[in-house]
Amino acid sequence: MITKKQYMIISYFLSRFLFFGGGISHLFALGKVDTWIACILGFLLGLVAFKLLHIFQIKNNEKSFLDVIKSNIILKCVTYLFCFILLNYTLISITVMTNSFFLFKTTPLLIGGCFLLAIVYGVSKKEKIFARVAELLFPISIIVFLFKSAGYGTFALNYTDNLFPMFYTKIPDFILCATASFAYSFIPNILLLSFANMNMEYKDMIKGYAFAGVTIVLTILIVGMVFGYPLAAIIRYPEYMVLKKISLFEFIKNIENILTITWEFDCIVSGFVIVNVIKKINNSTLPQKIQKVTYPLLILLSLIVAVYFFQMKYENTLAFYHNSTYIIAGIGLLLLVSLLFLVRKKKNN
Amino acid sequence: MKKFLLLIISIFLLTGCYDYKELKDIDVITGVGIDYEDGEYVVTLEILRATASGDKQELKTVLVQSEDEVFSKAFETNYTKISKLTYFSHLQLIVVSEEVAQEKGMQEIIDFLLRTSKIGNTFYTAVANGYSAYEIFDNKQKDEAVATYLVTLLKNSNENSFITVDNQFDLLTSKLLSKGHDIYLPSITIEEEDFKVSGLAIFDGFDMVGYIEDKYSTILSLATMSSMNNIYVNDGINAINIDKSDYKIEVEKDKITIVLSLEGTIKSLDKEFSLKDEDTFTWFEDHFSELIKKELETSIQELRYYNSDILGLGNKYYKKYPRKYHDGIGNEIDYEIKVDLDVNKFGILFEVIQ
Repeated sequence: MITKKQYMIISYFLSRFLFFGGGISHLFALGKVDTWIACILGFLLGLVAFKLLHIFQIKNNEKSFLDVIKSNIILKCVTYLFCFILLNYTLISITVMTNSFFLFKTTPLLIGGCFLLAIVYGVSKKEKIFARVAELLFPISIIVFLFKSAGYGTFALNYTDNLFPMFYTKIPDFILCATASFAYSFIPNILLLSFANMNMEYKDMIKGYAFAGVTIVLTILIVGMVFGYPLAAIIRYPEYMVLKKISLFEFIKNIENILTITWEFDCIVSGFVIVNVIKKINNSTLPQKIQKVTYPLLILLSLIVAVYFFQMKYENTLAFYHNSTYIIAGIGLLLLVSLLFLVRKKKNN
Repeated sequence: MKKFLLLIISIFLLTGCYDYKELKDIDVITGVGIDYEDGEYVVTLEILRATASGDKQELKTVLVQSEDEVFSKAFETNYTKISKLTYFSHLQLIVVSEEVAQEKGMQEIIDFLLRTSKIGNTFYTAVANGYSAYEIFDNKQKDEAVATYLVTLLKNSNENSFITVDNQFDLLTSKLLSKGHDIYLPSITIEEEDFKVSGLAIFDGFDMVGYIEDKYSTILSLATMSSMNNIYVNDGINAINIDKSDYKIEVEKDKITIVLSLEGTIKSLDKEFSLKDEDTFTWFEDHFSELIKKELETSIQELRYYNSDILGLGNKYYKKYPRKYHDGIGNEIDYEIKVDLDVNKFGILFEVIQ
């Protein structure tokens, strides 16, 4: 069982990882100059939606949401599909980014494979251990974030002009951007219900989420200030490009590759949680005899789909980039509503 | 056994240096020159190459050149002439010739350079004035690469700094893509084998439309960047040096006001003046405020003649009144210049030595 502090920290990582990769540039394409305002709105929506997780937690007497759906094969399939898509998103982000900027010649299968291997190893050590890993990575993530803010924060302040004209984005685009921001930040947090029920207070549940919100909105604000619209919307990985501008005291420069480590942390901790849920579904659904074979197969399936279907065929990556927000939000909300319905039904019975 | 196997595998997989490259195995690209001759782009790469000389390693620069009708092909063809791994992280300067900037425009070049992930976007760009970009890179310097020398020259040019972080390639592109903002680039020429910074090349969109003289570019820099400057202004007898400047552009529906806040030091003065007399300072402030105002007005008229809005007046207007904005408004709208000059330094002499 994980501690309350670990719960908050895992929530912090889960709330950030979908922004990495296509997330931020997708938001800029939608929200244009008002992206940061739409993101704040999205995060506020997420805070309200966290109430649903809290209600589920209060009403659920069982250990985790997987115990609630243990006899419902359809919901198990939906949960697996949800995890499968999230894991694919992580793998695509990691392999595409690594392949584009760091390891040009390394095959994406090896990049994704090594990343997945670390996640699977972490999950094999049980929740307590990977939660502890998250706990150790958290201060590093915060220090790097503070370092980044110090490095480009003052620089970005010279470009506040780029945040204007405010409220000039068309309302449908603004709403879509806020919805996407809500989906990226809140939806992965549904997986927090896979941990044993800790009867946490609402204000404790949202701490990690709120903190992640601050870091993401600040990042978007800085990208928006430095590059402005439309450049931020047409370049890939604007959050990485802006790191190239960091210069502390004129001698700490060219450190963008080191600073991307926080995104790797986001992906790896979120990967722990996602694969852990896949493992739990596998173990609670399939006969014990074949569990040891099906678990690696389910994980490998994600890797193969991510690399061969998405990473190597850009038209598929593009389709995923355009539609993943709605698919993730749709499946996630369907899962959450079904869980609330089930737990209410059980209580009434 | 498991741990032992893991250890063995780690020895091979986690060395971290399996693909490292020695300096002598890579070609560091420090500068790129782009010319346009006979309907073809000519791309010159300035390569900093390490060569072994006895026990020591020496660095020398080499130029490699390729041409093609398509810019990307001209650029990429250079790789077929370089045997080592090309390394673009230390790219410092791209020099484009007048022909490229005027006839072909910067669109194709910017698109290619921004698209290529192995080229960082923090380098600077300049225009070769009266020479080809190749000639600029061929005018080799004794101790360093031409690109390194030119970037230092542009940064520390006596009159004012012609390049700041604002002129780094990605931020320049950001300006170019935003509404109501044109760009300017410093221009470089050669005089008796020495490099010289010569005014600003100004653009209307992606195309260069002309040069403006040094004196205008110096004054214009007051309205484009807030910084510690070293700008010398004189009326033939009296002179001040502007040490510090700040600017603000205030937008109203039918008028734009440019407010300059300057701090200056008296550099020379007529023998009638005494610096023990406070009226002298008032005179200097009023006189030079008026002078700077007039010069800035002339500079803006010059820019308007070229239809280039490098001050971004249109952009400021768009940010405040996006619905009233239309292309070219920055060059049409009425403007007013207010100069607030504070002269409070004068060196160690109270009187003029006679």
